[in-house]
Amino acid sequence: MNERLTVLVVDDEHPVLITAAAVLSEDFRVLTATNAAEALRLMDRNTIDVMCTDFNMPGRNGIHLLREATARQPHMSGVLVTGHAEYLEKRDKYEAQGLYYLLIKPYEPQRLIEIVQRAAESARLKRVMSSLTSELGAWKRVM
Amino acid sequence: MSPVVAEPGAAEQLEERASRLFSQHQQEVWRRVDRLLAWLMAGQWLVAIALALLFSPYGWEGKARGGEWHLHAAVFLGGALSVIPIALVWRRPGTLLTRHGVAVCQLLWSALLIHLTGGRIETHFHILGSLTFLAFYRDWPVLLTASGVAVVDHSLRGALWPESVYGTPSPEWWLLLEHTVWMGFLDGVLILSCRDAVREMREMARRRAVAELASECEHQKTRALDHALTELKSAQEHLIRVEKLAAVGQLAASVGHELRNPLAAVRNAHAYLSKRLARPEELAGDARVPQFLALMDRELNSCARIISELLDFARESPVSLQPCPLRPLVEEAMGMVPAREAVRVLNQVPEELPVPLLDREQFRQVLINLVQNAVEAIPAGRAGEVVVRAEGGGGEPLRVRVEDDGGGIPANVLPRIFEPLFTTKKEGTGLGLAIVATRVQRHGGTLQVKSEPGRGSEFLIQLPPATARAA
Repeated sequence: MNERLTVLVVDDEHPVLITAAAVLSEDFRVLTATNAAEALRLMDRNTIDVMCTDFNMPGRNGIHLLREATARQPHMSGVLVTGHAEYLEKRDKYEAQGLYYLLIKPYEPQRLIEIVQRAAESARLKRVMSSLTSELGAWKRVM
Repeated sequence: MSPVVAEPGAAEQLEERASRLFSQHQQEVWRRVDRLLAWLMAGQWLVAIALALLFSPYGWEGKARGGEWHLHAAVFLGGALSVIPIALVWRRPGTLLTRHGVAVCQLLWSALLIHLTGGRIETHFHILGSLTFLAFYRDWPVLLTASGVAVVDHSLRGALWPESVYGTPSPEWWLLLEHTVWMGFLDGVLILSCRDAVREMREMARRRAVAELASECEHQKTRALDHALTELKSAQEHLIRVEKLAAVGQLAASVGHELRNPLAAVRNAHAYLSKRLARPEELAGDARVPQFLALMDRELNSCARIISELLDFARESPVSLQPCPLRPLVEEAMGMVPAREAVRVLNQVPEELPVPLLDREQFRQVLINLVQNAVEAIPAGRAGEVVVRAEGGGGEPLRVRVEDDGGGIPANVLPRIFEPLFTTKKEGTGLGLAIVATRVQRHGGTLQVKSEPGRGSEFLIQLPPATARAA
């Protein structure tokens, strides 16, 4: 990765937010927000590669936020952090659909980095694919 | 008795039971009289032998054969008359054959004794005595058999050997008639009394049957009730177990959830600090290092608090009541609550309040919880007041109030505040008021709350006079 990708961490628990941001700051450019509204405002000014959000937050929950965010920036990848183990069962399904990656709280910090890296890789690939597709379109028009 | 009769088939059941009880009683009477008469037979034998030895020689003197013959009659004939009924009583007690056999032998005994006394008129009374004894059977046909034997004996011996019966070789012709009439008269009286006795026995049996059936019916009902009670109890226990399990599950889930965030933060901080420690040269300049150390300390404390509150709630320690002055206890509790700017905490418990009986440690915790809640109820940034008052005590109920002029409790929240795990605070387990309520209950008291949104809340603890008794 020659360019530093941007991760937006969203969590209403301040201690969790700042420590997660610190853990990710080694490998990424990290932005933080304590709720969905603040996160979406940040998205207006920044291109986000990975959004890593808590599920349970006052106001819009993590899934709603991810939907809204992907609609605004389609190349972005999502990581949903939740304390509800029942989401584990659906993890494979969500990951296969490329909707978002799931992380169960409390997680190993190393695991957080790995998942965000995987999500970032997928975001980068999506971006490459889309640029290739548009290049292909341009070539078609030329020929 | 109506419940017995009201059941279908109850009348038949009653008749059947009554006749069974009557038969049992009759059988008991017959066997008892059988035994009595068996003893009488043995006694008569001894008397007969004595008569033969001592009296007969004089009674018959000069009229018939010598004493030797009387003695033989007493020993052998008397022996037969005793042994046969005794054998019957022994082998077949309570039977018809035995009763009539005994009756025949008893009247033959009368005949023998009359003979041994040389037909003396006094001995004829033995017949009347025998009939009376036989009437103990309360079975009138026995009397007829006995009387028949006496009449036949009198007729035959009166014709063949009058001396043996009447003590004279030529008795008057009406003697047999006279004896028969006397006997008939006694028979009449005895038969009437037998019938009365039997009627009374039947009535008794019937009453006993009614009582027995009623008591059995009651007994059955009691058993059914006991059974129902047992079932109810086990169902209740089951329910309580299920509820407890559900509560434990809920509690575990909630506590698990509460612990997740602090643990996640501590783990992240730890991971970050570990990496930083690997490059000590960068440590000094990193502002996050002291920040994260403080954060880890805070979050771990928060985990510890959650666990200890859970333990407090789960622990069912009994209260140990001791005289404990309330005012100093309130003072102590207030000291434990972190002070907040612009919030005044006032102890208005009167000095002269009678000393109540309290579990010091548990009640202190109750006060700390209530005072802390009251302080937290005052919205941040505005002044407020928390007051603890008390009244009553001694012979009256003790009332302790914790009042605040904070934001009040919304009406939709109010009914749920004592539920375990219910909380509106960000940093709360929802166990505080549940613990308070349980502890007040263990003191035999009640906890009530009044609240007006915007104007504040009042928590009222009422302890019964026994607990508030002056020491």
